[in-house]
Amino acid sequence: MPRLLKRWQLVLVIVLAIVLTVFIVMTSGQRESLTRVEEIVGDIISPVQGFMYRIATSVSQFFQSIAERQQMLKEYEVLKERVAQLEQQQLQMDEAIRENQRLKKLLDFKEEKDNFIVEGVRVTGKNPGNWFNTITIDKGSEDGITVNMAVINDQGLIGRVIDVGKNWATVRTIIDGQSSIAAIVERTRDNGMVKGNNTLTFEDGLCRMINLPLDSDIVAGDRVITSGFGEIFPKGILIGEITEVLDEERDMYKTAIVEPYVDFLRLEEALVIRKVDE
Amino acid sequence: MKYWVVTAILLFNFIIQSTILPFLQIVGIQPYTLIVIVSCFGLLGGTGYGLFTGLAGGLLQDILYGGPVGLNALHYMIIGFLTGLLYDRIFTGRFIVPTFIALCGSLLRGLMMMAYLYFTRVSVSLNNGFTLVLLPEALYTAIFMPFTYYLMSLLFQYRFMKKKWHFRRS
Repeated sequence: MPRLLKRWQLVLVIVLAIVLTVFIVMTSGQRESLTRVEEIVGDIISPVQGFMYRIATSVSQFFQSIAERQQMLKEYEVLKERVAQLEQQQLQMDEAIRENQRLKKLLDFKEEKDNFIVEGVRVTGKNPGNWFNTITIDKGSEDGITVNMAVINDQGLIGRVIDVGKNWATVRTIIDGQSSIAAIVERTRDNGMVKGNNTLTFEDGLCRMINLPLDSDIVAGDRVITSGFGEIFPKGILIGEITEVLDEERDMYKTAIVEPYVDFLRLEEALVIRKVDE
Repeated sequence: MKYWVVTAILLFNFIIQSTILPFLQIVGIQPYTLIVIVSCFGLLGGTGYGLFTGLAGGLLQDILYGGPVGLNALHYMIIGFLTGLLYDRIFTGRFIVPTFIALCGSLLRGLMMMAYLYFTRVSVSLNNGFTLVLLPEALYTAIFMPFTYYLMSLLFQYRFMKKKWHFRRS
């Protein structure tokens, strides 16, 4: 019995193999048209195939989307890094351009004031707080900087040197409470003293010009410059502009509020006047 | 019942093979899980199981993938029948023997495919074909055998699966 069974199986396999081989031969290579059997099978299978193809496609797309997402994430990381690099480069370029503009202004100013022998310095520190009354510069006694030298930039007077180290110095700005500068109103030629803003009770970056004659006709908008008295500051350096005149009858002098031309919040480079050629 | 189960397994395998496995390609080689399935049926169910699941699974691929009709059917039918001959003759153990059988089945299919290509006058270098395609394909396919064989052996513990295909006289 098992032998018969085996023989039947073997016969079946051989028959099937022959049939399949015939099919293979018939369907291999290019054919003009499908066989009738194939057409019928195709007609039956086609909807099933379509259905399965849709399933397969959606599963494929699902996995593809995961793969694509991974790829996109990688690309995103690379691009993000690139953008950060470019932003950094852009920042450096902008900074270089701005520095160039500032230095050019300073140079123009220096050429304009050809009687000043100046030393270009960088601001390396400011005392803490919103308004900076003293600043530190990067040059000192080794570069010929001494106490009481005037410090200016293209906008106007910054202050004077009060302490000198070997390669650094501290500058008291004109808005510091202890600062006092002999000044003159450019239009009216009235003399006075420009002091820092301590007595204004709050620090707002302004100065006061005191000791102005009572008959002075100064008005808001008048420019204030150094008078050259006291021999610390050379004559004719811009200090600021009068914004308000305080005319109190009980006083013997007029007082004016002066807004400095220098932007003390954004100081980066400056010039120290070492000598003035007469 | 077992017909439905077998049909479901073959359809499930077809979907997996045409959708997920292309994404598991390693150096352009993807596994053929139908060899694993057919070998499992042959080893656990005998020649009848192997032969018919190989024939049906192969035909399904022939019709749905296109190409010469009967090629896959012939290959898988032969693999199924040969693995079925081992049913109850050898001790298959849990994993090692089935994996080796899947490896041999895959190599056999590769050789039959190369023979077909030879007869259709497609020039294939036997050496290159064996080292670059056949062997990696067989190894990759065999990796899937232990897990599949474990699941299939669990399935064959159900009584309805033990029912023989109708070769013997009733």
